[in-house]
Amino acid sequence: SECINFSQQVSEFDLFTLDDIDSAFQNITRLTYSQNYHIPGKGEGIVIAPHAAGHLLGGTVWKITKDGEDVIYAVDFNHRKERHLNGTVLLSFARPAVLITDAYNALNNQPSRRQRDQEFLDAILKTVRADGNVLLPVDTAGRVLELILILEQFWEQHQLTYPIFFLTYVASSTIDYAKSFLEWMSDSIAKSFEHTRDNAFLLKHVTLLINNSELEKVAGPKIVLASMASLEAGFSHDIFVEWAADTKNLVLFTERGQFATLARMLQSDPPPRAVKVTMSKRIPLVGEELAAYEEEQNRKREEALKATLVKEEESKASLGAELSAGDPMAVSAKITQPSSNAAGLQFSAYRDVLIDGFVPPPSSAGPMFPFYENSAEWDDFGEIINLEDYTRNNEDMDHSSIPAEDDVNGKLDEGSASLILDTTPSKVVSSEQTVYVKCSLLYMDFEGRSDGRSVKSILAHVSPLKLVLVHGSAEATEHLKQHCLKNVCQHVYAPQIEESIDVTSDLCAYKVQLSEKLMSNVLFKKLGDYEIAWVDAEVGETENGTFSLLPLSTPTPPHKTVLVGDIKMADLKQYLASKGVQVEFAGGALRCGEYVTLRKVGDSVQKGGSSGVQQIILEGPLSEEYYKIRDHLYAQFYSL
Amino acid sequence: MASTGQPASSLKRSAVRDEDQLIITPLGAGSEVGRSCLHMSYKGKIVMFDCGIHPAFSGMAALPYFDEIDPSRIDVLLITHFHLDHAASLPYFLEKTTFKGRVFMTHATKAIYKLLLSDYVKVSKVSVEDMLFDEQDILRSMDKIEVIDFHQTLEVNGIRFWCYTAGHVLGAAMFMVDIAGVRVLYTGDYSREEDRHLRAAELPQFSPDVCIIESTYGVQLHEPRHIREKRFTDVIHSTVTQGGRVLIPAYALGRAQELLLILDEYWSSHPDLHKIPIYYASPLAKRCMAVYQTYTNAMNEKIRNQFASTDPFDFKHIFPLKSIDEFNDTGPCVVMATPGGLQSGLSRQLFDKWCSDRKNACVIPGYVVQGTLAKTIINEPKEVTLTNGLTAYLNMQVHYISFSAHADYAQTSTFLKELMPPNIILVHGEANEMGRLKQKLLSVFADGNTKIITPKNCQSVEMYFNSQKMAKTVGKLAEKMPSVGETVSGLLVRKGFTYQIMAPEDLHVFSQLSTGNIIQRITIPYSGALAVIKYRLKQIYEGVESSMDEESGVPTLLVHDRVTVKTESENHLSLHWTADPISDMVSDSIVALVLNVSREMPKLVVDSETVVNQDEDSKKAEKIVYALLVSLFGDVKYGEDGKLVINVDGNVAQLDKESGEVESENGGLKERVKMAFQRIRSAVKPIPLSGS
Repeated sequence: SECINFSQQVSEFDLFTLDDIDSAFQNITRLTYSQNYHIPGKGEGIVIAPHAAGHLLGGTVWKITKDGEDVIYAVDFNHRKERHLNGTVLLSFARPAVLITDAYNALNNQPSRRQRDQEFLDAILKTVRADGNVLLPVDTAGRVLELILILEQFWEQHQLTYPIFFLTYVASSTIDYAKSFLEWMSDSIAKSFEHTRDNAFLLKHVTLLINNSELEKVAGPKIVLASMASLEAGFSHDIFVEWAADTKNLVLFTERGQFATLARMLQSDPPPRAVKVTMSKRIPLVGEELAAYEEEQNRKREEALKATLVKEEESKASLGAELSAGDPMAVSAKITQPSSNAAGLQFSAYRDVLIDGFVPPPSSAGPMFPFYENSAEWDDFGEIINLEDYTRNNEDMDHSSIPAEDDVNGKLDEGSASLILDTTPSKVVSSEQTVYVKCSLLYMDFEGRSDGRSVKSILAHVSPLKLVLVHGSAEATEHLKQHCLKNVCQHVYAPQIEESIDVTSDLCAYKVQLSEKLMSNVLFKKLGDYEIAWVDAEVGETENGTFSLLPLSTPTPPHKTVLVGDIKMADLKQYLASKGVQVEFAGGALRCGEYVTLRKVGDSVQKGGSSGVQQIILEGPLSEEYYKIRDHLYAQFYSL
Repeated sequence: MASTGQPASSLKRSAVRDEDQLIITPLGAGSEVGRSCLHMSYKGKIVMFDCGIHPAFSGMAALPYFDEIDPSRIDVLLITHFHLDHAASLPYFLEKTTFKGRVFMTHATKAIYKLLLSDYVKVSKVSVEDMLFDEQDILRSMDKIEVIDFHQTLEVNGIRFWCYTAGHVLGAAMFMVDIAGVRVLYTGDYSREEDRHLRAAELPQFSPDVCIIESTYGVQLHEPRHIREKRFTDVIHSTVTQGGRVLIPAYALGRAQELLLILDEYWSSHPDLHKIPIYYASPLAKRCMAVYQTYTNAMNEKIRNQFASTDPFDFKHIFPLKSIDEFNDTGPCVVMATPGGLQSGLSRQLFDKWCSDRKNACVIPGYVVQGTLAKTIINEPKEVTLTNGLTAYLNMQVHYISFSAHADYAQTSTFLKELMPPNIILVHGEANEMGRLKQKLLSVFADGNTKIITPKNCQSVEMYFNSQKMAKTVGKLAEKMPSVGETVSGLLVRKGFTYQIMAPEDLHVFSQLSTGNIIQRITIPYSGALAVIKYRLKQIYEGVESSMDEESGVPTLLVHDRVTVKTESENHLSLHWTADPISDMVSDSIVALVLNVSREMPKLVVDSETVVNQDEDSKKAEKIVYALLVSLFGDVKYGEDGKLVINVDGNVAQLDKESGEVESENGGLKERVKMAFQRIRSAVKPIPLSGS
């Protein structure tokens, strides 16, 4: 809803209303991490389960299971444990049929968390100690929680007194909600609460603000976390315009700006000396404008009234006719008649979003998120307002003195509520202004996503049978694709927008019942979590028509011996050394003793590849040593 | 020797059966209320539910019967909620027994558990000699307790479990445990009625095979909630307006919060009562507030919406009261004090003070345990014994209005009717009440398919679940559906309780295991001609093929389809093969042969010799087979047409040595003889030359 706030403030926003948000929330089913949700009805047999992804509070890696095959959707995950979140559990999944992940960070590598935190705090302290202000453009909720905790802890440890402000329209609700979501946060936060009942979000050093008038009262250097991160709108926008000209100040970006935003422009290297910004303001209508507006409203109302009458007439008329044909007519009349020019506009705006949202404009280098210019559309009379929406909101406000029954998420701070629910006719006035950027600009990665190196090792560990890459620049996607083809699996897809790919599993499977007789003769060998045995069985049928496996009635045929085990050359070297064999690596092979060499061919990392079997070559002249080393090598495998 | 066969196999079979046996033993709360604790074992996995103490006893006597079990074998311990009779022996169990499994409870339960038990330790320190555990034990236990969120599915050691909202108190959970497909639901204390702050217990999505359910209220029915609340507020209202004092003995946490919500709301809407104070006398009152304000996600929608505007637990009309010394007893007032059973403490002190004045009232707001004073005064005796030993008249009015969120008969029976579990185990109820419930439930489930059991403490309930082991054949092996009679050979891989059958090549695809090949190359000094070797090899092996090495053009020999012999240089030969027992043996024989050849000149060998040898060999083999069979079965004779006749305890089997066919009336013997003969034969003739 803060999104609406901003949009409302600086432009006309009519894609959806607060009511739409509420009704959308009605349709959301809440799940907890690791909850297996069995989809009813049409989706019978499909189980979906959310798992912790890190990155954001509630961030989820989805696991979709059917017939024992997993599809995992994991974008924006973070394997590192942070202050407020645990790392992702993605690593605990092994060999899913399909893994969909992003290539967003494939080319980025991060310094260690400790080093990055230190640099972050150093930069802030340096600025405030030099009497400058620090602006951190942030989003309403999400990564800002981590930043707040970093600052809070550091201030606590070092007894600092520089004021920190968290400024968004919903700052206090954000923190209130954070306080009641400890179950979703890191173990350490949960633990400290269980032991001492100290809620980590009971902030001692960060002051919550919902408008910037209070900020102006505070003299001296200060640190402000203000929304939005894009700098395109909101408090951060206003503060930036105010602070940019002072060399003492610092604007510290904690996430990469999205394409074509002011934040992105400022993150370019070298940073621009001056930027043009649009200053928008909503002012009430006065004098002629107001009169004209009211006239327009009256006209619309009359039209609407007329339309309803027409509709009633029509529906009456169609009542006699067959019902099914009449209904759509009535409905379409209802939609088109009362809507004047404005509604038509509204409709086309919808379509733009639905269809064009993720198509990269020809000029852009890569895919981008939808971005809308703040070009407010207004006619001669100011903005176009649907009066009904506002009157309904007005009623809502009357009820709001009683605790709202169904409005959990509509919790608004008063300031913003008045802004949204304000019915006085008003319009948006914009002006362009050039801002000279003299303050320091800095970007540090606090996005909380796993970096390229970690992503690669995670993918190798999870080793899906098929991998789909999305969300990343063309370059990063290609890089990760090539890497994965070599090291993870043979099937890597990087589909373009609207491109369909077929990742249907070519896996065959059928179920059989294991008969008691067969099982009583099977001797399992234990390997870690697994138990494994060779079976030779005859297919039989049970009473209810399923297959069952029975012991063979004929003598057991011979089978090729299977050696099970994963040999790491380094481990083998150590093992041989412990057995008193002289070993050393020479030219990619392990030299054991004087003449015998051991080599490994066929990469075991590439588990998905066709040559998943590791080949070990043992070479040497006929000698006692040869047989000794062979025995040691055999000891590394389970032979079945 | 001969007799060892049968008993061993019957032993084995009974071991298999034991595994299929589900055993549930109440160590507490079996036909009683208090010290809930249930022990369950199935398939070698052991789960324990709850770990409480009996509020009417103290010291070791209050513990569940832990002596009956081996704590070190328990895999998982699940705690449903924080009440003392469900969680209070946990520090003892974790710190003073051999238990080394994992413990789970919900977030809210864990936070309140610590508060409640620390307070319990402080209170009992004064009155009890043999303390079961101290503050340090509680702190240490906190580190071992893991948290689980509602609906979150966890797996420990092949035991899968998750929990549902149980109502009752904040954080209360019902646990569903799934071991190898057999599901057991343990309700703990539950309530199907939504109240001011809690959700009603959920109805599990799946029907369990066994439902262990509380039966506190037996066949009683609760009054509708609004009537109960009205009676409650009316009694209090009339008592205080007539100048009396109201005592509400209650447990510190859990239901108390609900009563406070009711009182605070009532006072808000009755301004005339504003001058009459309400006291909540519990040292935990303030401390637990933070927990109630944090874990709102476990509460119902109504109260969560209230949180959006104001904090409903920030009471306007209720004041905390630390001790009786602070209490200024001057006029009408309402005091909610602990403990709920009036055993000792502040509630008892106030009771002693107020019980003989008929203007006063005592409202007992929930279930009271047998043996406590609160239970006694419900029957309104004329006199009561005070703490100091004197007797006094009981003139104050005593009202029993139950707010304890346990299911009543209506809730229990509908809950069970929805779930339709084939086995119901009643716990956590007085024996009589439980008996009545059982009778009534039996009439509900009259079809006879439902078993209802009311075990006493330490009385085990045994059930058999003949679980069929199902395996999934995957990958290359499953490319074609098999037909009956075909052979399936492959790796059987077990992880937890799931089985998969696959080709060895697929092992790395479907598991994290991988297979390996060892290719061996050995060089042997030899300076003779390859043809000599070939000649000698041909006498031993049937398959000796000559060919050329593609790269170097050197002539090679392929022996037995397994080992390649290649001239490396003038003075060396090399052998190449992939390691497996047979190939290793073949290669060893080639090595031996090559070494022999290089030592001496080739000798001419008469062809027929080998034939004679073969005859002798087969005779020898037959002897060995016979001897081994005798050692296994005792009475073995040569029958007519060359068959062996085996006689064990009057059961006769005939064995055809050529085909391995066995004929016998007795199926067990037939199987055993067949198996034995197969093994003997593979021992005597390990290399099936015909196969290659």
